[in-house]
Amino acid sequence: MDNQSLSVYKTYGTSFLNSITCEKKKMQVFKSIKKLPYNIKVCLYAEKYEKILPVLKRQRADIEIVCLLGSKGFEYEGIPGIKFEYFLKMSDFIKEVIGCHSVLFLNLKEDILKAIEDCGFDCYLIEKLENGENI
Amino acid sequence: MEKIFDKKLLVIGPPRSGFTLLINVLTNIIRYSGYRFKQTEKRSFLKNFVPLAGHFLYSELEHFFKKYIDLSKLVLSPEFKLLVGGPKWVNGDMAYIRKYIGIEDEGCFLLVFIFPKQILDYYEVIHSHYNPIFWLNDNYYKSYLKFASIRNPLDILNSSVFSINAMTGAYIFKHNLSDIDKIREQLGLYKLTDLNVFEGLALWLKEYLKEFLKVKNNYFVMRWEDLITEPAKTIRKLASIIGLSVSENMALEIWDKMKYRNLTRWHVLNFRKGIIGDWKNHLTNFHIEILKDLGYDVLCKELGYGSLYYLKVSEYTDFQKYIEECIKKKKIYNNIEDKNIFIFGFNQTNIKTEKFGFKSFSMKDYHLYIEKTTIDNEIFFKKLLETLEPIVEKIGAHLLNKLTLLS
Repeated sequence: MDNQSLSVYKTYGTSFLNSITCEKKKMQVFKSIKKLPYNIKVCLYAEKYEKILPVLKRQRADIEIVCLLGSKGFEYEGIPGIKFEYFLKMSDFIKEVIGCHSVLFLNLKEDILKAIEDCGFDCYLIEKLENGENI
Repeated sequence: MEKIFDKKLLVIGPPRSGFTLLINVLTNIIRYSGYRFKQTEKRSFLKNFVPLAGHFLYSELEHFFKKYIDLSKLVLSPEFKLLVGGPKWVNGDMAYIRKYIGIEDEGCFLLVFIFPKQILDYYEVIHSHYNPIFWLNDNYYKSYLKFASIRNPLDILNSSVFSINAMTGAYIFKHNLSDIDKIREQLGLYKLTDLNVFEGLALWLKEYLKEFLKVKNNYFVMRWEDLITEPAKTIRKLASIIGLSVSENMALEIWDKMKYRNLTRWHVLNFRKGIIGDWKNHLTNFHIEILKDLGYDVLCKELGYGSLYYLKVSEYTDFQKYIEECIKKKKIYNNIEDKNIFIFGFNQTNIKTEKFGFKSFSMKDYHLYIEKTTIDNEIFFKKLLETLEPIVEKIGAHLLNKLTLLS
């Protein structure tokens, strides 16, 4: 069982990594969080998660938050925070396994946005967000 | 400036033997000495990957449960939501990680995930309650400094009967139940009056100790009693083993910060203040008889705790008198009103349960299985395994691939 399990992992891993493609996407800007597509999985980038998350969860319960992007590892309300550099390293896993193809920006961070676009994620930006007021 | 501690550490020990204490003492020695564990690229990757993959797997588990049960009845300790959270062991190249899941008014089950063993490198100190011989023979762990916690087996068993496992803890928090001491006492009364339960606990521990005794000289052994009675001396000795020097004052400072408190993040009801020789206040001669029959006389002597002896009945506490009376009348204590507490608190782990007729479910070549369950519903478990297998397989494959690239 053990050796077999390992070989299944090895064979599977090779074919699955070979199948990954990376097509650059362009950012889409939305005036409000209500306008975002429905039933999507997103990774989230925000400057203050404690303000944004409760509003997002309340207003758009259909959006599944896969992880939070940050400069260090952390966790907020059970959602894992991922270091940006590791997010890029795990982008294939996030897309192909988790099935998340979108990153939602609640604050614009140009350098991060560019790298994420290059990785083939759909990037959404919410315009004029102030303290969650106009979400 | 922080210095880098680049030795690898591994801790084994049965539950309730000072296992978590030992892990924390080692970690704190390093921290207080101004060092931090070496963050390899591999560990940094795991620190990010494991929470992400665990969150995803848990979401999928929740989606599955939504279809079949009322989600409000699901009981799962937050500890188990982390991919590597829960009791773990290694066999060959694979790590086995056990999750204890409860469904109120239905029962509970042990779900085991199988991942490449490198996943355990998430931890700075690798730790396990199982297989003392394995860790010594496996090349992957050859360079690790290996530690073991041990405690008087009678006190381990005494502590086990009063322990509240992570799932029961999660249930207690969920329902805001307040009388924890009463719950502990009731679980203890049940486990001590049902001699099959007590024997099951003693059989599991016996197997562990027998294996451990064969190889104990290959581990740096920390006796729980030494830490309790001579904390500074014990901490300084552990420090010198890992190549660090700790002053008497610093050792006492380390001990002050951690003594007699919960040291786990989630499993907060796991903690119960240990008292040396507390078994004499709860076990009876019926229990000693069982232990003698199982060969604990030799085990205890070999571990340095002396021979087993019978207690003076005239000196029994009221608790012991009640236990003895129940056993004589063949009455198993069952006054636990909340049946979920009773079922979840049984502790299917670290106990030999052949006499209790639990079911298990597995599917060929799958990377997860149901180790034990009180729920007799094959279709439900088949669907659960079929739903999760592709996800577990992808997580394992990705992990192995990335770690291979990194190394």
